[in-house]
Amino acid sequence: MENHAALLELTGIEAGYAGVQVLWGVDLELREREIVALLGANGAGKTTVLRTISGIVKPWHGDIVLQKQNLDGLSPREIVSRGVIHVPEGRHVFPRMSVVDNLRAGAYTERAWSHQRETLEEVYGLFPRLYERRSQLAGTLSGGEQQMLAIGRGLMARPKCLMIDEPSLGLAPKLVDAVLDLVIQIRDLGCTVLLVEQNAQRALEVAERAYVMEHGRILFAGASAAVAGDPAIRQAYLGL
Amino acid sequence: MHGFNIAQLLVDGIVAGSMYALMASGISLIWGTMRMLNFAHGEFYMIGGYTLFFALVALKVHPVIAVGLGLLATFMLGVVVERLIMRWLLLRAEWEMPTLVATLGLSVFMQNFALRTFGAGDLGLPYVVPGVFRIAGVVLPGQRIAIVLVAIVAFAVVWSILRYTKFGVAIRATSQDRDTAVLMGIDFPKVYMLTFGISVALAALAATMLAPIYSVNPWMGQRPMLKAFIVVVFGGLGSLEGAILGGVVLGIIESVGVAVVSSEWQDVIAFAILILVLWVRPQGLFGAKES
Repeated sequence: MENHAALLELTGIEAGYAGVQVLWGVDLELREREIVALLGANGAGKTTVLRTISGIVKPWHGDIVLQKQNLDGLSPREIVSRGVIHVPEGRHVFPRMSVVDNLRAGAYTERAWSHQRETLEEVYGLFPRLYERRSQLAGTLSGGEQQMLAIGRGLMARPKCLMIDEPSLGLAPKLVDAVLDLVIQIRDLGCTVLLVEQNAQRALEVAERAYVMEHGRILFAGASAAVAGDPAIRQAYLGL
Repeated sequence: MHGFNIAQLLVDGIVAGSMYALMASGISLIWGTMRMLNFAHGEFYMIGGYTLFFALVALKVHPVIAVGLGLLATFMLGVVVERLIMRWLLLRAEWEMPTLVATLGLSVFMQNFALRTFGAGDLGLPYVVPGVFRIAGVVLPGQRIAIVLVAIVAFAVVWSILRYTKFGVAIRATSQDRDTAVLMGIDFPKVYMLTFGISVALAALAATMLAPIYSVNPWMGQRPMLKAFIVVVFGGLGSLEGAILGGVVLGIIESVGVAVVSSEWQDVIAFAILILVLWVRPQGLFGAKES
């Protein structure tokens, strides 16, 4: 995987909310077609990293570069249309919209909207359950199905990079397996996946590389095996 | 005292109710999408009325074009008002009170602007649709038939936009979860602007239908707006179905009620219903409880 070209690069990102700094110089690199895990305890700043990449939080310092293009000052809409998609923690499906309308909402950008039909076929191929439930209101789906829908909705935008925040949260172990299996399939379709997880053990099983965060800083970056094999990191930051 | 013609009362109720529903659906659409109440809704109705009047009397255009001009002018004014006033208030953390006060102020401003510009007099309009039909003992002026048909078409159009178009998906997504809609690339300020425009255009549509029956004056929007607020409370804020059904039910209750007692009681009946609904089912017939 080492020879894959860089897709998204964060250098020296400092960011926060209303004057309270959360990120203190975050460096992160995603290459094409890889799964990268972003790990760390609750409050380490993982979600803020995603929100900064998706343009919701404006970085105070540092650069975010997507395929040699600086994303500085771009709105969330422009970042979405460049193929960087954020699947939020807690699914956040649109509860009073049908499954298929949720998926259509995911294809909102011009490019994605015009390819809606093909993408929908692909997403139904990955998630047959969503096809079965296509006319059901999203709010009536089970937690696992809602997570599938949230990921499927992200795929509708035809992403280059899919950032998934805590997909295993609140799911039964069997469903966690299913979700992580899908993450691998999504990568195999050519999409880079940034996987934010508190469930470090499982995330390290599917990710090629991992970053470990604490207090808004990257403490460790490296191959998943190296992270999983380092007793100090395992114990101190991952609770394994 | 002669016996009531129940069919006539029902038909009259449906005619009045379809206009309440049209007004209410605009208020409901704005609430559902932007979570703000528009107390100037009646004044956009008034703008629709004046535009129709001047289009018919001064420009002497065809009534259909006059109605179209009324909708267009009001839509554009709505877009401008949203862009110049509401947007800044809606982006604040505390937006409920500022938007409410701003629309109240706008309402006073628009009424007095109309008073200064057009005077206090009632401007009468001829019926746009002539003729009176009698079907099985029910008397129906053509204008009133047109009112119901126009309302049905308007609801079908709004419903189809919400259901099938890309913009409709954006409106529904924004109304259900604005922060997540942003992650889809939905430009919610644009959604707000167009929603506001469409909503006040619905008020203008009601005005263009009713102005020939009542008349055009600076305060013409007040009663329809009060009725519309009763309807949205009745039907459930933010629900299009609730606005339609609530409007028709209120129209029929008023129409039957006035026949049983006397016409001075019409508003008493309406507000009694409002109080009753707030008491028994505060979320309305179709409203979901706010979490």
